[in-house]
Amino acid sequence: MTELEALIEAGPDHLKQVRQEALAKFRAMGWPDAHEESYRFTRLRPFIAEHFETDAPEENEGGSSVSFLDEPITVRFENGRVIYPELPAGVRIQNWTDQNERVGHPIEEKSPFRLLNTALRSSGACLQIEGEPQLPIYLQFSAQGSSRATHPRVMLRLAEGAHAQLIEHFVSTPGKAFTNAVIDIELGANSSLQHILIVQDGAERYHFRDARIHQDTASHYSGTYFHLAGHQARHYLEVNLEGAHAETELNALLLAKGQEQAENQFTVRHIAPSCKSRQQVQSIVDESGHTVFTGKVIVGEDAPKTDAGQSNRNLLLSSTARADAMPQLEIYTDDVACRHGSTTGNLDPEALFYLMARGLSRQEARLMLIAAFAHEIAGRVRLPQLRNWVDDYITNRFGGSV
Amino acid sequence: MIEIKNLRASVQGEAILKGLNLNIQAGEVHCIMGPNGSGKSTLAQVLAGRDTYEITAGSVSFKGQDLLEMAPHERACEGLFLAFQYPHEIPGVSGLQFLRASVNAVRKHRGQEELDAFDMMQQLKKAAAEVNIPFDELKRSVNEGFSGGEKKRNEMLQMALLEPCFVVLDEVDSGLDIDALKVVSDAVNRMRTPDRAFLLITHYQRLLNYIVPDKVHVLVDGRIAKSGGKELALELEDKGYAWVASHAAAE
Repeated sequence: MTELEALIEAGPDHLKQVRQEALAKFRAMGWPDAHEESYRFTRLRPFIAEHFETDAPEENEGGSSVSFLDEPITVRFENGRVIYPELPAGVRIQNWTDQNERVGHPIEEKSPFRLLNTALRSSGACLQIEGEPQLPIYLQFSAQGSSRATHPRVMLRLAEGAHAQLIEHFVSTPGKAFTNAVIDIELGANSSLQHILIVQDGAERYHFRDARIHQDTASHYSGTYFHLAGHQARHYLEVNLEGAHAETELNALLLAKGQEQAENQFTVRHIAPSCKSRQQVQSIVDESGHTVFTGKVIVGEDAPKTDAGQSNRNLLLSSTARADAMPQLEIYTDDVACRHGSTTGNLDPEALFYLMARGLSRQEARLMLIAAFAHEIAGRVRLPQLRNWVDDYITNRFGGSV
Repeated sequence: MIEIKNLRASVQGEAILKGLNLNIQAGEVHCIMGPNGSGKSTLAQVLAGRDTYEITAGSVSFKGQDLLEMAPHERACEGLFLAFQYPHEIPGVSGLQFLRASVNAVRKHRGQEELDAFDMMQQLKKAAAEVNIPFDELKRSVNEGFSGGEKKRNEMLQMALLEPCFVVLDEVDSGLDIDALKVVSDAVNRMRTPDRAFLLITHYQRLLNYIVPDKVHVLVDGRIAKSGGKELALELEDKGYAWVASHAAAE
């Protein structure tokens, strides 16, 4: 028995079978091949060559925490532990060991990263929300130590008519490490979720993420994602618009500097009629950084009156910076409005000169234009403190102090 | 204030300025007129430090310093102000944010204390009112979606706030109706003091009815072909640029 099997053996009985199957399937499947289209740009080889230890999960416990927001409902994921405070009415958290969630049978799963997460989940929580909690729910994932792998897993369910704000914040210390996060979100009919993701990883961290969202009738999802730092990241996201008149809005900003690589791979499936989706993905790339955006929109045969839009803009700050964009549209019905556009370029030299002609140094002018570009995404965050924090972080990152 | 000697500049290998000489003293208003392509806007851009132009010969002394050695922002901080012919639109940067950064950059360079939020607001409100810009417009992105007249008034607002000692106005009258022209010329006339100098660049004599120059120069093919008093502008209006060109050729 290997150490991974031992880890599963030591875990809760009722999850043993599904975890063992997931591990077996992962082993049979292996890591993805760089020849696979969806991993075309992902730097897999150096990642696979690394060795990481997986922590054994620990039980959840109550507790409290502070963050950059005024009194959110804070749930902390520290390596294997989940810590959360007393919860307001309408919010329930279940231990991952008690979870009865839709794990998805391993047999049908095609993503090796999700299989590995199912097998080795190191921490997790299942959140259920009813009504309208007044405070945002803040999930803070922190990982310490070197050569560790963490496999956090979150399930979030919004009941019919519920409204909530969710903030996920990944922050890690320096040192080689691997985060393999899975989040599943189910939005009941007429519910709405404002979801903010911040990934602020250490310089040597690998971050893989698999997020899947299912939306029922007339539900509204708004996701604003900031990938701010980290050695390599691949954010996989799929949104399934399963009930008529569901709407989804995805805003994302990727930053890559030095040798960093950051990738957004979004798939929006229009399954039901009269749904609307918007994607606005931007990246700022400096030095030898590399960003990738693959945006796929699939309009099924039962999804007439679909309204889908996608826009991608990339700002390259050096001659060695690189941004790849691959919009993909698959449409199987008529009566559909789909738009997409993509631009990649440097800072506008006319704008730089104009600012300098008014007394700003080249560096100040450059920062002002970079911040303006980033603010197109950051400006969509409705929490002012968080919005300002993101603006400042970006200014510092390109001003040289982060 | 500024002394330009034998200035030659080219863009992508093509010579535009071909030995230009010009001397402007503090307190003076000079006007450069000339046909399209004579090099008027090139001169304005070169003075402000635009790096798309290559200086191939000559010198420019500004308050005794070598202007051509200075970066664009250093020129601005030292008191050179170019009112652009086509003020650039900068999406995402609000007018307020831009003006605050600009005013404080210049103040810092001049050894003045940076203005706090309250004092800055008072100054901006007063300056905006003088050029008929509703204060709320400053919350919009710089020049974005502004009409030609709004852009030029915005240039005048920046000029008033930055208190330059040498102002270059590049076709500040183009695209303006009479009312806007009045606002712009009032803004310039308010700034006329014995320690400031102005260089007006224009196609038309009309502007000079509002801003009366001390000297008028005619630029033809990258060189000053003729200089005179304000009456030269009227003579030009009458006889056209061809008259100066043939006159210059005959000399």
